[in-house]
This record gives sequence, C-alpha cells and structure tokens, in this order.
Amino acid sequence: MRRAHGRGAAALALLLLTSACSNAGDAPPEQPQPGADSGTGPIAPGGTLVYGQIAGVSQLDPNTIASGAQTQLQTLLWSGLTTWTPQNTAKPDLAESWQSTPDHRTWTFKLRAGVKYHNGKAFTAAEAKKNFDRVLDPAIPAQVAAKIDMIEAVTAPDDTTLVLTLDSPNPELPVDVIDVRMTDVDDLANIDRAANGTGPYRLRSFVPDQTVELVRNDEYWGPRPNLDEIRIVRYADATAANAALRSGQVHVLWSVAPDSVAGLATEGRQLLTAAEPAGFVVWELDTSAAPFNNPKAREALSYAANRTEMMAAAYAGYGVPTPANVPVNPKNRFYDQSLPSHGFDLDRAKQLFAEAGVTEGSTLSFWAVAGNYQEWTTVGQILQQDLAKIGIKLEIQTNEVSTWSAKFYPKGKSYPNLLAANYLSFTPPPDSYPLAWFEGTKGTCECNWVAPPEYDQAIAAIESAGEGPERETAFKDAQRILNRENPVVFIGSTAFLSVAQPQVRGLWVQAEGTLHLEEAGFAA
Amino acid sequence: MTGYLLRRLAVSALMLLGVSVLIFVVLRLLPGDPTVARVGAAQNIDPAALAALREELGLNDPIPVQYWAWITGIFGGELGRSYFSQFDVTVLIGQRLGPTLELSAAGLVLAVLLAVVLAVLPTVVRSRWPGRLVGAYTVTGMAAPPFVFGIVLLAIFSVKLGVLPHQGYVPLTEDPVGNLRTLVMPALTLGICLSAPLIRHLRSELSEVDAAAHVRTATGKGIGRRAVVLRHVLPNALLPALTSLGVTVGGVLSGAVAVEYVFNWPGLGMLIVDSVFKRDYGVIQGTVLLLAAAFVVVNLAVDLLYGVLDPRLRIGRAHR
Repeated sequence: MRRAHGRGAAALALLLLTSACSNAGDAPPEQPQPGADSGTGPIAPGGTLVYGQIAGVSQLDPNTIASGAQTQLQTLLWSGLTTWTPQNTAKPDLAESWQSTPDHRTWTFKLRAGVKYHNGKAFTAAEAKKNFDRVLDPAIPAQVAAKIDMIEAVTAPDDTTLVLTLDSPNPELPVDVIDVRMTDVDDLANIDRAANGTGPYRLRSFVPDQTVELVRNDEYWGPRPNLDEIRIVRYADATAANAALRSGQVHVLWSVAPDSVAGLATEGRQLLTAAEPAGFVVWELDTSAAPFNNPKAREALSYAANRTEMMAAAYAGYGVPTPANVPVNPKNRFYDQSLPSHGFDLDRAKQLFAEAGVTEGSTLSFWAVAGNYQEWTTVGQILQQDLAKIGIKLEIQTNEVSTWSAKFYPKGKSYPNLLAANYLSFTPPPDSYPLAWFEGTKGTCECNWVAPPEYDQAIAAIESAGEGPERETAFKDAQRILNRENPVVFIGSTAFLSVAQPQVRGLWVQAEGTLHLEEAGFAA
Repeated sequence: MTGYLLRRLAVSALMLLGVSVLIFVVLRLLPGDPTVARVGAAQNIDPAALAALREELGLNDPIPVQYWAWITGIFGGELGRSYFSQFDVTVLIGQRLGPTLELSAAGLVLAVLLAVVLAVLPTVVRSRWPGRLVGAYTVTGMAAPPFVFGIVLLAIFSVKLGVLPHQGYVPLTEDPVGNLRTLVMPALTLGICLSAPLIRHLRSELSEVDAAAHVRTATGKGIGRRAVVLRHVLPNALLPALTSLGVTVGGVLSGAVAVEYVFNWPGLGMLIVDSVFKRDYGVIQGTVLLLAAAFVVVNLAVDLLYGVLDPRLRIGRAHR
C-alpha cells in the first residue's frame, strides 16, 4: 500500500513536470487590454443597469464625499457648473458659458434657465452661490475646497449669472469647480432621501452601504438619459462580486482586483480603465520624524523600490511604474521626461540608508490595509524581500481601514519609522492639484514635508499662469524638486479597473478612475 | 411569581445598562477616528475641518458626558444619528430589521426541525451508524464557523449547479419566489450551525430519559420502539432542551452576522460590520443594545415558559 502511494506520487510529480515543461515554451496567456470607454454604436432606450462594487455608498452629500465608491454618483444625481470631458478638460454643465477677465481673477458663469432640483425647487445663481459658500466654509469637510480656495467672493447679480472673484489668478478655474455639485442646501436634512440634485437621474431609494436605486429624471434639462433605472449594489467581497459578474447578475463591476481582471474580461466582456491613469500607488512617510526626516533615507527608499516588479506582480501589469517619483503620469504632456530615474538599485539604496543611519539590522514598518487591498501588501512584500538583501527588516502590518488611516491622517500626525501604503487619485495636470498637495502651509500632504520656497513659487506660477512657457517651466520645476526631495515615494500610476458586459455602451473612465454612467445604455 | 418577575426584570435592566456602558467605552478605546472615516482617507482635507466635525458630533466631550447624552436620549426614544448618512439610527435599524428577522426565523425553524429529526433518529434506530453520523454532524456543526458552510453551499448550489442565486435579498412583498430562492442558502447555513448544539443537548436528554423506569415499563408492555420514543421519551426530553433553545434563540440574531456577510444579506449583521469599520459609534451602540435586549427578553421568556410547561418548576409553589 505504501509503495502504491509512492508510485502514485511519483506519477503525479512526473505528470506535473511534463505539464510544466510542455507549457514552458508556450506563449503566455494573452492579457486583455483595457480601453477608456465602452465603445460607440446605437443604444436602445430603456433598461435597468446593475452596477456592482465591493465598497458601499455610506452617504449622499456630493460635497463632503466620503469614499471613492461614491464618485460615480456625482454626475448621475447632481450637476456642477461644468463637467468633465474624457480629455480632462471642462465642458458646460449647468453653466452654458463662462468668461474671465484677462488677469483670470474674475470669472462670470452664465447659467441655464429653467433648471429644477429633483424636489421641484428652481435652480438659480443664488442657489449656486449657496453651494459655493458652503464648500468654502472652513467648518465643512469638503475636499474640493482645496481646489478653489482662491475664491474670495461669490455673487449672483441675477438668476442666471454667477460671478466668482479670486484673490489670485486661476486660469484653470472651470476645471477646478467641476466637483462643486449643486444640491438644495436648504434641504440638506433630506439629502439621503431625495438627493436634491439636478442630474439626469434621481434617487428612488438608498440603503447605506447596500444599495442605491436611481430612476431617470424626466425633467432633466439635458438629453434624455438612455436607461430607465440604475441599481448600484454593494458586494461583501471580491469573490461574491466576481461571481455576480460571471453569472450575468451585474452589468458593470467597478474596481476589480488586478489579479482577477484577466479571468473576468473574457467572453466578450469589456475591460475599462483610464486612458491616462492619475491614481498613484504610494508610500507616505513622516518627513518630520526619523529616519525619513533625512532626505537621504527617503531617496534610499525610492531606489530600493523595484517599481517594475511591483507593478507587474501586484497590478498584473495594468499600471505604469513611476521611477521619476512624481505624481504625474509619464503619458501626461506636462511630465518632465528629463528627470533623473530612481531605477531599482539596492547598492545605492544601502549606501544612502547607511548615510541616513538606517544600517544593517534596522527595522522599518509597512502599514497596509486588511481586506480588499491585497495589492498594497504584495508591493510591501516585494520591498520586504529586497530590503532583507541589504540587512534591513521590514515588518508588514495589515490593519482594518480605520486603524490604518488613524495612524497618519490627517497631516500633523507623527509616525516615525513607518511607510504608510496608500492609493491617491489626482486630477491630472494641467490642473495643479497633484503638485499643490505638497505646497507649504496650504498643502495637506500627510508627509508633513516643509516645501522649500522655490517649490511654493512654482505652484503659484502653475496656478496663475495661462498656457505658455511660464506654466511649462513651473511644472518642470515642481517635479524636479519632488524628484530630488522625495517627500513621498510613488511606485506607479494606475487607475481602477472595471469590467462591463458586452452589451453595455456609453461608459467611460476618468483619469482618476471614476466610471461615468450618465450616458450609459444597452446596445440596440 | 410577580416578585420573581420583577427581580428578573430588574436584573435584565441592569444587564442592559452594563452592556451599554461596555460597548460605549470599548468603542472609544478602539484606534481610529469616525471623523477621518467620515470624510474618507483622502488627500486635501483641512485638519481644521475635521476638528470642526469632531466638535459638531460631540466627540470632543468627555466620555461620561457623551454617554449621558446618549443614554438619556434613549430614554427619550432617540437612538441618535449615523455620523455618515443623515438617517436616524432607528431608521437604519428599521431598514435592516426585516431581513434579519426573516433570516433568523427561517434559520431557527430549520434548526429545530433538523435537531428533532437528527436527535431522535439514533434513539429510534438503535444501530451504530446513525449515531455516529449524527455525532459527526454535531461536532462539525459546532466546530466549523458559519461562513464555511455558507461557502460550501455557495460553491455547490450557486457556482456548480447554478440553481440558486449566490447573493442578495429580494423583499417578500416584491417577489415571494425570489425571496424564497435567496433565503434558502443563508437559512440553511444558519440552521445547520444552530442545530448542532441543540442536537447535542437533546441527545443527552433523550439518552437520560430513555434509561428512566417509565420507559422501561412502556417497553416491557410491548409498545413498539418508535412509539416509546415519540410518546414517552421525546416529550420528557424536550423540556430540559428548552433551555438550550432559549440560548439559541437569543443568540440567533448575532449568529446571523457572519451568515449575512457571506450572502450579502442586508440585515443588522452587515450594518454592524460596516459600522465598525467606519467607527459609526451611534449605529453600533444602538444595534448592539437592540441585540442584547432581544437576548435578555428571549431568555426571560424561556424561563417563564419553563414554569408554564412544567408545574413542578413554578416559582413559589414548592413552598406551599
């Protein structure tokens, strides 16, 4: 009996070996290539689209947005003065047109007439002013405030005219105001029951963290939406969500784990991601505490990051390594191609670490999230193996999300000796957003980095200069300083991956990963 | 009896008060900040805005002050509000209570049916194998966490055979058939887990009663084995097993938590899990208190029922 087992094991081993050998010479399985939109073609009116995600929508205030899971609602339930184009520029939304003074300090938006909130109340310039005033209120935790904090005064001379006066020039204001979404500020108490926006869909029901049901807004001022209903469903985990997609119960699945994508984007299903991803895999560091208060330790860490392997292993190749260590995608026209590369170089990393006092036997901590972000931990494990080769120990700790964020967020927290793994989405240049995150006292980077005056000057120039050489130079200057100082380590640029059934049309993905459903429908 | 009832009510109230203090304090000792979770761990939030939010939510007050505000609110019929959505905690609980009650009731009915059948079977059929099989079922049911059964059922009936939907919930009022189809697997998972301790207790009682003199007399009279078990053994064994059932009923709501998570069942379990991740204190406190109250009330009811079903146990009667 024992011998028979041995023979069986030998046969199995031989079989596996033969199978491995026979595969060795084969071409690797073809990886589905992502697109930025779900294609064109006639769309049949009507139908219910089921949209799945593994994170729930917790609340429905568009201007104090709590999570990425909420972003796809921004353009369905609410409108802004302007809205996105796939090229990351602004196009008219509630504002039909706009113009600025030559110094870009006064902007006048001409608003559409006859627009109503979902609760029937008329939307006017006075309503827009209320929304801007609320977002700019320091007591309101509105992320978008950081983009428009140069607005000094908001006035509404008549029902269809809104004037924004700035304390410093901003030629990109139409892009920066996109995320100020108009809702009935006087009825915020009912926002989670009625949404009270002016968007193409209105709210039918909302169960926090479970489902959001939307129905077509027949009084929408714009083109008639294609779908009758959109149902947003949250799944407890990736396994359940993937099974739902495979069984056809879900038409679109957002934020699919990279290692699942190849298996899901089959049988004609569409794999979608941004054309120019502006989401970044990063390690945040406390630059005010040892050892990363020493720029050499930060530079060493940047050289110790095998970005190519990390993006290949953790993100299945759906991402672009960023060895220049800046928050600008190499595909972006403002990316400085001449920046020195921080290519993977363990010897150099060891030397720089030693100069910063991180010697053999030292221990660093890697702070990741337990649950649905396994790729962060995978990236950490690669670093762990590489650091071990130069005698530095990396302890990986995975924490549930609240514990993880409380360690280093918001800025001002001290977290010595720690690498906080994170994923950051930015509005890409020409907006100053990703680079202004590091700006002196105004920036809110949790890295606690004190930017040199030349950096702040560069940001000021980006924000005030119109298209032209001055702006181009300022972008380069800011990137050069980040490349030199490394206040944060950027591993790669990527965007959330989504998978859609073959018959879905009209979807497109924004640079930071938001999937736009407002023009979605089913193929005719 | 009235005195006993009053004493039990007073003890129950004290227990609930203890639970309320415990959950309140433990939550605040956890790392994590609800205001950070509220705005998302995203860049570009001014720390001053977070500080303002903390103040607005009353999180800067000392813990005893926060507790007093919460507990007095409860006596005034207010369970508070979610830090995240604009909903009152009572509304959020109301949204989730129906699915949880439905799942719990179905799971409990299945558990009792399974328990009675599987516990009685080895007693009637005095062969070695039924007893061993039921023993293995009981050990597995008690040892394996509910999500294991859930995943196994999912793999068989949903993924492999494709006969049942793998996830979700359809309200009974919307589509009764759809409701039943989504209910089958979560209820079965819960039923299997709840039945295991019930079977163990019931089998022990059956074995004890089976050895009693009146059973031997009945057997001696020539009554068939099945009739002896059903008429003379089972009724006498059921009463002690009621205690086990009481504990099971009390714990069924909390037992549903894991099952809800596996099957994406939008009940109180999912609400608690999500709220813990977000540190949504008010929702956790309200929901846990409700579950604790359900546990206490059910156990009180079982104790009282005990006296009704067995006159020997009526409080005070023995002294007369």
